[in-house]
Amino acid sequence: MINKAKVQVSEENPSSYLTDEYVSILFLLNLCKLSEKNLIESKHKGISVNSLKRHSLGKKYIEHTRKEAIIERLKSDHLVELKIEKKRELLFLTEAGKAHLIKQLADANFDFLGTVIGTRLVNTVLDLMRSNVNNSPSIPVSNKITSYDNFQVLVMAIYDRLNKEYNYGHLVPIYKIRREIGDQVSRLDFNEWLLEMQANDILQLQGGSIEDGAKDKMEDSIYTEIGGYRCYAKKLNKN
Amino acid sequence: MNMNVDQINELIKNHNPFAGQTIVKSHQIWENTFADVPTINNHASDAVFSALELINSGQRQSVVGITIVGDKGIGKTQVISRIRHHLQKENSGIFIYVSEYSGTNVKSVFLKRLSESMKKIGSLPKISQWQEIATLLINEASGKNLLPARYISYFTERPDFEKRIEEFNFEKRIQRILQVRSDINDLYLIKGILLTLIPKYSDYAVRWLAGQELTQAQLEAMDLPPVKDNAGEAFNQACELLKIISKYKTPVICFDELDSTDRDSSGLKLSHTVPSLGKDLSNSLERCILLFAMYPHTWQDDIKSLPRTEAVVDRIADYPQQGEPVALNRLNGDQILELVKTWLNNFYQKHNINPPDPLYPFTADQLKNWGRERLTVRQVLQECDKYWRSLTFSSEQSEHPVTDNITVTENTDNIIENNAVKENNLTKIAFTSELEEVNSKIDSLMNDNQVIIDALGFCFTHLVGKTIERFNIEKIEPLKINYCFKIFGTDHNTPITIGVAVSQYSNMQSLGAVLKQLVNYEKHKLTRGCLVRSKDTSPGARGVRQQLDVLLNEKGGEWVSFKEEHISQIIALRELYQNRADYDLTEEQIWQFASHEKIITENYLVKEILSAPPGKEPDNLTDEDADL
Repeated sequence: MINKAKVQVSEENPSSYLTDEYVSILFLLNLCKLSEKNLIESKHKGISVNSLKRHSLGKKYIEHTRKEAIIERLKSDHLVELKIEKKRELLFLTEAGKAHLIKQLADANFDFLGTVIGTRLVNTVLDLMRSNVNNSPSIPVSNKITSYDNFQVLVMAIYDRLNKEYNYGHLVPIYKIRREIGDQVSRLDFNEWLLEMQANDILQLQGGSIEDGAKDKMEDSIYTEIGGYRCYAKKLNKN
Repeated sequence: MNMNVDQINELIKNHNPFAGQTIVKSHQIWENTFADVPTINNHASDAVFSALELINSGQRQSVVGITIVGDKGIGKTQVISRIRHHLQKENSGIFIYVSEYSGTNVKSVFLKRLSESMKKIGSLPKISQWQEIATLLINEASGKNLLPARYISYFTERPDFEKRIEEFNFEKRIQRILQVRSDINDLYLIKGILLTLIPKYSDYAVRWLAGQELTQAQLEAMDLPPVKDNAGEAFNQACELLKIISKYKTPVICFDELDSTDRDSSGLKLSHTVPSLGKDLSNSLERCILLFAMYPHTWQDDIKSLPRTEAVVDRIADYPQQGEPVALNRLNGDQILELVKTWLNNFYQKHNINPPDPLYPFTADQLKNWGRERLTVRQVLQECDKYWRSLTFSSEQSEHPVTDNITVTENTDNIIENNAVKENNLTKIAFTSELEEVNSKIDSLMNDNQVIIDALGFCFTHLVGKTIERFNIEKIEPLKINYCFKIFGTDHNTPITIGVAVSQYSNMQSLGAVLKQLVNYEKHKLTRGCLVRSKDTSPGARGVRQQLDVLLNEKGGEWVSFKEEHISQIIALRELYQNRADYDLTEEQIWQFASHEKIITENYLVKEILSAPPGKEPDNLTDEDADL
């Protein structure tokens, strides 16, 4: 869910009211736009880290450190990947990143902010949405996670991010983790591997109910035969 | 004793040590009857012990706040019980347990629980924590070092009792104590504490210290002023008492069960009011440990959302890490093994049997496998209970070999019937456990209008649509008098509305106020008023006598008295109903059990309330001043 956080617009820094999520979407969208163009003009589907600094984010000024942090996060979530081609550092939009982008654009809570927006950007959005309408079951799933080790790294990255962003105090809802991971892992693998993480004392799964008791959130939590529902994950401090 | 496996299986069939034993009741905290594995979640109990060590050795002269968080059934209360027994064994502190906050203001409840806890046995056999402190006060002022038992036996009733009281000279002793303890402001509090050493007055003194009302005669006999019935006074008194206590021993005050979602009249939950109380205590006291136990979500959603939360968080969770609660962990395979082994060991020892294996009838693999799910203590015990039942049910089946079709149906019926009986037995075990808890504090419950009216309301709500004593009950409604409700129904087709008022007040003014409302049939739209009260009235209370006369003779109302056993069962039934999830029981199972045992329909109070009024006072009243 994207927060339309138009809360405080600071005069010196007009972009400070943009949430990280919004900035991420704009960034992914720009990456998508450029890679579509590059596809025709060259063989690259990526974008150089340098050109990023110019193109980037709808011409809004975003502090360098914040931008770096956002890119780092997108990388750790496997939404973009960095490759080195001909001594140039290129960022690529992954299939998972594209799927994520489509999902976010389809979210009813997403609006473009501001008054003017570029034609090419809008066309990219249209292309994306059309490709998704015509071919809806094929939301790209090529970034399948097939091993417990990769799963564990991904889950912890998502856990840390959600915990920080939503200030969960180390009670991160399992349904949110499952939804963030999306189709990269099958439901059964998710259940199995999350329990494995618990058995390895990385996470403890706890809390038998969710605040609003919503059925879909319960379904996206974990259920075991003896323990019943577990709705939250908590990172264990290993001593 | 060595038995063969068949004999052990027979024992297993007839006795299930896990049935109805999954909740730690508060009397078990005091008595240590709930099996504990001290290594489970010992980081939490150790935190308390090390804080205690720091305070007792003078390295930390202050108030320490510790909050433990963990899911339902994870073993919070068990850790608290462990702390209680550590303090008792090591003689290293005073244990105060606070739970059950229902009814009045949380500050008044706190004072009550404080005084009740102090009435429990401390480190010396048969000596209450109050008596211990009373002795320390006297000894310090007189420079002597006598044991509490010496004082208690000195005051035990005998022909020269009055003379001994006089010779002991309370006034002079209190003056001397005040000289040594210049920090104490209220001499009556000292007197109240000292009076706990006199067996005849001990119970009254504890009630007085708890801020509970006493009869005029009781107050005069002990020469104590009436209690002031307001929350602010209650809190001040609690702080003063803790100040007196903490000079000699460190109080460890445990606030348990803070997770209720109910809100008080100002819209606040317990998780708001109790931590605020903790903050105030922390500001007022010089030496104590405050322990809070709650669900992780209560901490995250309620405490952290309090206004000026840092001020509260820093005080209720400042050890071992500032601002962080101590989280309890779910059990892994090895811990489950330990837990089950401890329970089975107690069971086999009780029956004087050597099992073929300490884990019999479980297997190590089976239990270790449960550990993968990381269960709570309660889930493990429930699972043991289920497995135990499955063993006994299946063995039943195998005892009836099936030969032809006719026997199949017969046998299935038998098994279903047998299973129904067993389920009723399980409910009975759970009920018995609740009843034990109720009986352990029945003296206090006899004075608790709220608990009694709640139990009655619970019974009558269940009876809606049924007929008892020819009275057809139609509906139950609240009534705007303290501790009252209305029963609508018909008796021989005559519509009747009974106003039921529980009024166990010792104070005649409070009783008079209730009676005045109860006889006002027009205002409350009643056809009959029913006073539920087990105590007689003071002879001198003329206003009350007049109102009673109006109720019984002019208005055709009723006064129903009762004994402890008349309320204990229905209170226990209500508790069982409210805790049914923890016992793994359904509503149907409970109602089935209640109707089988006729707990509600044959209850003396229920029947008396519905029956036609005899027009006279009951003859089984108790005289509160009889012992004076």
